[in-house]
Amino acid sequence: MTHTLSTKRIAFIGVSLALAAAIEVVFMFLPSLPQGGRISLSLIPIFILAYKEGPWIGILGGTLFGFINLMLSGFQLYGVWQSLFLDYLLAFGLAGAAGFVFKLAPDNRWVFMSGIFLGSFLRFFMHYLSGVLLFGAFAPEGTPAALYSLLYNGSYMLPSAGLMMLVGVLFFSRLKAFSDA
Amino acid sequence: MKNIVIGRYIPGDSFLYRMDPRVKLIALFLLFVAVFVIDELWVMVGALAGILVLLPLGKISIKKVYFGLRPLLFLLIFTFVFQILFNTQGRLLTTLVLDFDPLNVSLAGLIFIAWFYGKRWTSFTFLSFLLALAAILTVLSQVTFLRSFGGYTIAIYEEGLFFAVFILLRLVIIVTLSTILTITTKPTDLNLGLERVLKPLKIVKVNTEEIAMIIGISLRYIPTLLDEANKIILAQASRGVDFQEGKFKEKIVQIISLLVPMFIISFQRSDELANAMEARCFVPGKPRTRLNQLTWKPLDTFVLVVSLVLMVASIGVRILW
Repeated sequence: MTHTLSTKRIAFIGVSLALAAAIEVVFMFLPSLPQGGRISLSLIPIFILAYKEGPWIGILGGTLFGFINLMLSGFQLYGVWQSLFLDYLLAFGLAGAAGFVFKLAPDNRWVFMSGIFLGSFLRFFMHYLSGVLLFGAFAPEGTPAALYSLLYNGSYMLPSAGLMMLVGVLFFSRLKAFSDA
Repeated sequence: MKNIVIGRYIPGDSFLYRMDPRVKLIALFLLFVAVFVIDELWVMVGALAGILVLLPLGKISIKKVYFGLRPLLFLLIFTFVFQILFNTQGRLLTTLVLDFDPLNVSLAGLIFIAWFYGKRWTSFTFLSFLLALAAILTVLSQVTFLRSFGGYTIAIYEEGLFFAVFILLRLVIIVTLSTILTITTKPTDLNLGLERVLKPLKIVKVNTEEIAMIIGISLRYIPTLLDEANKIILAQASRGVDFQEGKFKEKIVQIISLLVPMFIISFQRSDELANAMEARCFVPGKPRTRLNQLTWKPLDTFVLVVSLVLMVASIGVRILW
């Protein structure tokens, strides 16, 4: 980062990340799994950040949100330090890469939806990799780690992605009205 | 929603609270390295004993740390059982022959059901789980009423037991250490400490100040936005939105009715915040002064030296033993 961010951008990123964390708390009523997996809408502010400010800011914001997430959960890496990168920084950071898709056609809600899908998929893929590479030993006997990780992470990421795509499409017009203003 | 704690900070006063956040972070890192380097069981037990002495010294109740460990219990049990059951290296220590017949299996099932429905009346869920588990194993191995239709032998090997205890201790120590950090340090102080500790990253063109500013803003605004969310929930509830019940379609409507105002409010908040920052002469990239300066005390030097010695000692033990 050779150039510095403007004050407006710093404030916007900061508040968006706070919103993402607040959404995580407010929507606690959505079902959750042990070991941290839960259906969550908290990536939506990251997607909106990527939509409004572009993919790079989206990636920066996502990475920082991953860090804040880790901070709020009390720095629990389950004894595997590499999980810091795969499960937090990279997983949430790459979700911001949805901005590359949004850029293709910012006015199209279906493109917005595909962007959300791509971002969620990248996050899922990082959790999946972490499951295979780092937490393989926790898979039940007889189940290959790859399959277990796929099922475990898919079981909350797929509904999350579906829910976010639904919500994203439903309020896309409002978002556009707000960012054009 | 008011009583949701952001992070794990619990107000208190002890030497752990008075330490500089920079030192806490560096000491935590050094101790993590030390714990990961240890490969002798007795050293690990020593480390655990050290932590058990540290907790009362730092006036942290063990109960609070236990609550920090609770989300991990599932993982701990899983690792433990996995190692015990499937690690077949080393000397065979003991075997437990389980016999299944219709009667004792259903008896075991009854015990499990009794535990499952009884656990809400006791505050010792984990302890009662262990008791129930022991009872089930006893029933399955000792009591036979009818002709058994199958059996399973649990064989515990030396290595399996060793690794189970070892990994368990390592996880408990690491989680306890990081819980101590988050219990005794406010997220904002932690952020400030991190900014200072990560300053060397400037060499590779990572702007740590900017990043710390963003994280600081975000930590500051989480409670504010939660308050706003609370207001919106009340406002929408007064218009008849029911946040407790509803089918899938109604749930989506509830979520939208909560999300849209939250977004609009946070967009407005961030505009206001940017204006307020500029009005106070915040210029991105320029050095800033602080209201609360971090001060380095003799205590900090002492803690730093102790953790450095511990790390070197554990590396030494590993190499020399």
